[in-house]
Amino acid sequence: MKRAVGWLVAAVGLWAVASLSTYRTAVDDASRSEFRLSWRSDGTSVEDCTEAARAEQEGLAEHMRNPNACVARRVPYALWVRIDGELRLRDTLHAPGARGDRPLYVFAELPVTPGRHRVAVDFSPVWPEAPVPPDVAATAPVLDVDTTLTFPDGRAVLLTMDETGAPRLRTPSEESDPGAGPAPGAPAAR
Amino acid sequence: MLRAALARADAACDALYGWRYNPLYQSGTIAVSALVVLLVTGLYLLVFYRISDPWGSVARVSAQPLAGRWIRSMHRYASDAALVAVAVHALRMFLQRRTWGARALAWLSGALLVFLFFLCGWTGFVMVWDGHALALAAEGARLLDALPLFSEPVSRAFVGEREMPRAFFFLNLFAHIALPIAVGLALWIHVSRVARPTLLPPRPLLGGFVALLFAVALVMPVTAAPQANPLVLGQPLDLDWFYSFWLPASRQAPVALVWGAFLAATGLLVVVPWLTRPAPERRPPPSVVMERFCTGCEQCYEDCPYGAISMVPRTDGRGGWVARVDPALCVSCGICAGSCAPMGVGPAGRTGRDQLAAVRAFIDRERPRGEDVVLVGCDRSALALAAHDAPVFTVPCAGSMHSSVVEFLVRAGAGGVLVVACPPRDCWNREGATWLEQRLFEGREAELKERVDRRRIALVWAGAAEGTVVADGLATLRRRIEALGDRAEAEAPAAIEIDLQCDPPLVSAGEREDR
Ligand code: SF4
Ligand code: SF4
Repeated sequence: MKRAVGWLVAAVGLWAVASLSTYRTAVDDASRSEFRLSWRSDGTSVEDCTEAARAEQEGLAEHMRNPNACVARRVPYALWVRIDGELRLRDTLHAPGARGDRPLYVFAELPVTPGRHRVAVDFSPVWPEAPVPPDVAATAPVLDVDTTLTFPDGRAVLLTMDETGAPRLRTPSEESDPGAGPAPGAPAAR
Repeated sequence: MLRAALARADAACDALYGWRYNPLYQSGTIAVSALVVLLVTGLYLLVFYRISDPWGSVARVSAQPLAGRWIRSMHRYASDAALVAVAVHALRMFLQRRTWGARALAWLSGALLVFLFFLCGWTGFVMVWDGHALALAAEGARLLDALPLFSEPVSRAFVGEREMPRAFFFLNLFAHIALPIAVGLALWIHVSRVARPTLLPPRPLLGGFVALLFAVALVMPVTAAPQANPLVLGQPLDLDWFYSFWLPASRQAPVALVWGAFLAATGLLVVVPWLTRPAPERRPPPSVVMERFCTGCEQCYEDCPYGAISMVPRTDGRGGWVARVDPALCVSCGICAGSCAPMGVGPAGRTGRDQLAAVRAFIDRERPRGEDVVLVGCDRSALALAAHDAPVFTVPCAGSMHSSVVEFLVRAGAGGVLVVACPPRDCWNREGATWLEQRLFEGREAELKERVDRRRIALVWAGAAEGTVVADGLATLRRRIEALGDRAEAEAPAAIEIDLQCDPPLVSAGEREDR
């Protein structure tokens, strides 16, 4: 009898362990929605060229002399996000890394009420005051989105930028096909 | 209060399983058994795991009706059982104050083991790549992003921007396989300061544990939860409350608070050896060898549960060997005092000689008569002992009691002696209770002498809350003594001579050199 009770107690103990091992629970509010922005961009660079000091140049071997020493500098980017006209995010992004030479990244999660919202996102370079060569200005990646999106209950809508610099929207329905193009109503790249 | 609760739980389990198979006493060895189960089942699961399709491969294993289903479930439940066993083990050690001094290394390596268990568990859950896995990975990334380690947030990997790269699952799998090696190393350190470590429980308990795991895995198999989808919010998760109990609260809390709580919990675990260490004036002193009494028999060297005694050549001109205690390894358990027939070793105030002096004083005070049974036990059992109508002689640990204490009591006129010791698996000083039984009844060196009538002596194993076991033992011994009828004349305490001879050394000096 005692032995049977012993087995029973041990079995109940392990049953409790097993129950707590896979206890279905919601750790998040399933009735909310979210607008996510996440991408990486090489951005663009401008060169700061200074006429090197004559004395400094003369101290170098002839083949190493460079009368026009130029340093490439990443251009900061401005990021604006408006939802239904309300400014939800405004930031100036500087290239990360100890030398400021890493690609820029955007990462933000903005809670929104489920439903349709007008969304405007602007990601563009903050040019220095000095004139910028036209080819640099023309090729700098820019993301400019102004559209109306549906945010379903318990779903996030992700805005990202593909390798070509074009904006891409991702919603859970596309989840099985990561390479899918923009969702219906997605903005076009500018 | 916690200690009393644990004592009551121990008593209940003793009643159900007997002290030999009491799972609470065997918590450490059960944790190791769970590790063995994890290793065996993990090897099987590894064969089917694909980093190119983590969720799919696990789902396919879970759907295998013959083996995969229950093997995966056993793997999961064994990991949880290991954590529960570790928690019980740590609580026991903490409540028994077996955490400081020479035992600090075991405590600290135990804390490291807990951390490694968690890491191993978390990487295992991430392998499955369901909602729980994503929640764990995303929260881990959020916490890591607060540290100045990466030039861009790791969290971006888990927002759904692109498919999870294989490299992530490869690294995770690598960590899940490498961590058990670290667990093995930490376990080795954990037991490195104890002599004769016991790693596995007795076979019936081991078999019962594995059988029950198997039964629960069959009845409640772990099923595949929906695949992780970073764009779905508030997806219900099949949370493992042992490894991820912190996750729901952590996700809502600021990162600094989570890191603060983690560091505070880790800090608390780490400082336990210093927090529980008694003040210097109350700290029990390490054992010392009185070389003039030491015959070099090696018994204390054999018996010390912490490997704190070595044999070194004598330097007093008598030749041969003498015991030497390393104070840094000695936990002052006093077991050696009970092992030494000539009473030449032990912590100050607790040597065989000190015990004899105490028992002489006890006889003068109590003057037990022929029908009296004297209860002898350690003060940790006092709770159990106090309720009984019999004179009580307490010793710091029954395992450290010299057998001549029992001899003295009987020769001085006590009708019988009931020795009450903690169950051997729960001896606060590891092997003390085992050696005690062997000294009293099986002729282990420093044995109870032949001339002492064994019918007047009994030994019971009883935890602090097992007063009834003591009462039963007392009643049984009283009946036995009554049945004996006559008894030998009591000797005058002052005239009792105790034989301090011990057997010759167990090995010759030459043999020792060969070791
Ligand atoms: S037990 Fe033997 S070796 Fe140890 S101190 Fe006593 S006599 Fe010496
Ligand atoms: S008191 Fe004796 S038996 Fe206990 S650890 Fe110290 S030397 Fe070893």
